[in-house]
Amino acid sequence: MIESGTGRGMNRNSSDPPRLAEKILCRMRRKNGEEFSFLGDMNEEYSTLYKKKGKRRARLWYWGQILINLPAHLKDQVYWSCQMFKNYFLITLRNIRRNKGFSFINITGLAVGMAACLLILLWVRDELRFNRFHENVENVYLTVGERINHRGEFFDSTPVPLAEPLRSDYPEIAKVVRFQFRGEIIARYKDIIFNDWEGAYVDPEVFAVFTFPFTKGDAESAFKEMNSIVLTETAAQKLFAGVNPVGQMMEIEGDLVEVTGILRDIPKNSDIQVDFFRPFLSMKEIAEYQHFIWNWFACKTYVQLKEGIDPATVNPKIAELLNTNRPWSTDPLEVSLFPFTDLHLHSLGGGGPIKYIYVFTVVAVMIMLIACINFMNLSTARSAKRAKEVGMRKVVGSRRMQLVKQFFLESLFFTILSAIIAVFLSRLCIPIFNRLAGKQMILNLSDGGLIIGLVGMAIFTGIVAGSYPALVLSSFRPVDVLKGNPLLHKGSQRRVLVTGARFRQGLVITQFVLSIGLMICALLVFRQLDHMRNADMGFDKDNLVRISLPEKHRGKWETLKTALAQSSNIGGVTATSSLSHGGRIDWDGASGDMQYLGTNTVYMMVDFDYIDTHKTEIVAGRNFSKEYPSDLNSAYLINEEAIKKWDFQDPVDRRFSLNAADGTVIGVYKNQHFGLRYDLKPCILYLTSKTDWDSYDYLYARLKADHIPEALEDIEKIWKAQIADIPVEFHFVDDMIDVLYQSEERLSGLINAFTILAIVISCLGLFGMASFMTQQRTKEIGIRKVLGASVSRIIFLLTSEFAKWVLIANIVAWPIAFYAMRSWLNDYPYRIKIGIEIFIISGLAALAIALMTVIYQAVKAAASSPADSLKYE
Amino acid sequence: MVKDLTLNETSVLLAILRLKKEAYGVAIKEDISKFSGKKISYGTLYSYLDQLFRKGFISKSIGGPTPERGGRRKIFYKLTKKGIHALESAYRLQKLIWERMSEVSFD
Repeated sequence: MIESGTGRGMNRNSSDPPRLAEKILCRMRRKNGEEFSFLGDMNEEYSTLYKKKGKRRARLWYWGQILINLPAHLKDQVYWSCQMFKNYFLITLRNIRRNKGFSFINITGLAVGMAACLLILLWVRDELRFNRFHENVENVYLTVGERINHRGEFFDSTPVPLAEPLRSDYPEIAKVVRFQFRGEIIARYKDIIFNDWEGAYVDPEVFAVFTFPFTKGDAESAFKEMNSIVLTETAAQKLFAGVNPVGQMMEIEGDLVEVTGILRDIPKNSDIQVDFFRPFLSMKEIAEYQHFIWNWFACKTYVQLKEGIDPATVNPKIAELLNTNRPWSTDPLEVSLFPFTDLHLHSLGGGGPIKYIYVFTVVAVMIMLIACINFMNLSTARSAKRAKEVGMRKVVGSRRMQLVKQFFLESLFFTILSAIIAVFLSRLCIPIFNRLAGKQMILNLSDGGLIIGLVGMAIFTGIVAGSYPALVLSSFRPVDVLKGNPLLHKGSQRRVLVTGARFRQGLVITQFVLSIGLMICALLVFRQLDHMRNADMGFDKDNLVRISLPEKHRGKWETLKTALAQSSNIGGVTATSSLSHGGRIDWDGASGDMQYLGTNTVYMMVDFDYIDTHKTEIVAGRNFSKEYPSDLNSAYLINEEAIKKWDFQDPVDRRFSLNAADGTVIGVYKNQHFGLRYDLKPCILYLTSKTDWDSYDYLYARLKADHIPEALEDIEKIWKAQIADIPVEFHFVDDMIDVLYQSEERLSGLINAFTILAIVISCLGLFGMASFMTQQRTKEIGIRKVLGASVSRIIFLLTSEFAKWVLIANIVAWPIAFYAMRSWLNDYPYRIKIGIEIFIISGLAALAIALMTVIYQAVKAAASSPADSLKYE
Repeated sequence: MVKDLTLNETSVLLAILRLKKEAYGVAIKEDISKFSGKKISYGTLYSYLDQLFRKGFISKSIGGPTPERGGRRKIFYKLTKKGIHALESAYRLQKLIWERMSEVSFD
């Protein structure tokens, strides 16, 4: 039987020491190779004790020996690991110094990747934290209705009287707050007037549910009186400039009100962005009807449930309340309480901006992956150079685990260094990023989550990026490496290096798959945006200006319109109401469930000049005309979409009614898009009021293309002549439409930025790989040249391999990008076709960039004199 | 010039000398504690043995395994010539020191 030092030639006796203790002792003592003697002594003494004093005493003694030895052992361990750590650190520094180029590429790549990742994660966190600063936010819900007969059609508004019974009859509900948001409100204090304020009309409990902090005044007493108003700090500053606003009287929407409180400015990460809050019932039209208008979905109703109540148990009760109070309706609603915290990222019917969170998290991971791949590639590529070191270490007695530790520590050193640089980089870039993303984020280093994230990222990438070199390099057999050039050597060594080369190829291809994929996405997003901006809107959106009429001056619309139409710089003027929805329609042969209008059908009061001013085509029948006096009261125009959605064939001259006002459809006009982000809706136009609230709210003026500044001056002048107390407010329609595309524009900007980053990082890696590969083939190139190869032949030889990789990457990237973009585009009713040319352009661009990156190295190698390259080494 | 032996080294060397061919870990430890009444740990003992070996005072030979040692081999120690010389000079020094004892008294 062969005996090793610590091995045991015989079976265990009952008088042998406990196995575990023996193992521990064995581990503690293995330095000089003669530990068997020591262990044997211990064993012998144990068995003597065992015989004399019994098992317990013997065991006690044995364990005691371990305890005695422990301190010295630990001291030893710590001392030596410190020594080794010092050595690893030194070697790392030496390696960085010796390979400045590689180290630069490694660290820059990682730092840029990490900075990008950091910014994206900050953004994601900011988005996820939206609206969460209110104290009881987890229990706050918005009451949302869905039409049972028209699934997928949601209402985020509810009737005004709903709140009262919810408040008094439902023990599960703690508080109820109604909201109505209004924009373009006129505020005045003495001579200072603003006409663009936005405000919320809310129930007095509002500040207990949405805990905006007060700087002056307090939540309890703010809305004791109907004529009170709470302003934000900035709004108060603008209006009162220097005066203490609390207790001051000001005018808002024509009402005289007293400022009772000032709120700290509403944080950017709030979806409720207003200049002021006023009591809900200060809206006269609502105060009048507040107990019985169950058919007017006029406000948002927020509900705060008591702690621990499941909203699903409350939903059917609210639905019942709502439906029993609308007994005349054949259009029952289902109610769900939608978590307030989800409102920012989730659409009512599912989906919503949360997808951008996923998209950018994926992009962040992709960029990190590309940077890690660089690191892995460059480290393993240089493994041949490090191989001798590994061999020497092994010969001197390093165990494999120690080498693994060494390489992990080395990569950790790199990643930590990169993380530090990344912090500086992201600090530098955050203003640009904020502008792209429409955010106001700051990078605060005392932010615990950020630090943890950063350290976690450094450790994670250190382990991922270091894994391959650590596992491969440590597996080299010392005999193989020390015998000579491991690249030429047969056996396991060579296998490792060959598979290493394959692995590297795979990684570079992966990088290019990611880069090409991102490039395709960026181009398609851009194209879609371009398509939406320049598509045929069904009307001419250029040089069209919308002028808002303040409520108290709506009676002057006709005077203003006439005056504007007379200006030689203005091509046409029309007046319209705002778009309305809800109510009912009817025509001969209409199917029953079509008659009740949801939010998916809109109607608008216009005047005779609407179609001409907007330059919209009439596709069937005729336009409104003053030649037919009956048009004024009983004519309707509908759009093409109405025919399609309602299945309303040959509508012209058919009887039609809206909200029980009988009339005839006189024509069909071409669909008008108000932003291609949205689905088309059926639309009805008419000339006189069909509801209680129809009035001309806007004037649209078509400016003559060459006289825009003059036309704007005219508008200003004419307005001042009629309405002295309020400044004119107008918007260009094309600007308003562009605002709708803001989120696409942001997406496009961000994707472009990160695509460029990804490509830059990939190229850094490629550059490193190319320089390494040409260096390795220096001799081969020299010999080829001696044998008569031309410079161009050699350049071709060196670059063709990289070209091959990029081509393979294209084949992989195309289908992935195609499926990803197809699902993105599915959200857009008006989308571009995904053409092959985008793919080809991206592929060629990637190829060109890759070749440009490697060609420098290739030319340098090919042009060098063979005499020099053969002397190399 | 060889450094003087310490008292502990001397007692280890003496124990090895006394045990003749049976001088291995357990036996040496027992001999020392029987002789001096002082307990000594294996850690200490082996560090003395290593020291003495490095200085060339003792030599090692590997012996056979026994069951009560869990089947592990022993290492037997033997004094070298150098070791014997060192022990002798230590003895002479001690003797000289103690001979002067007769010239003083403890009061």
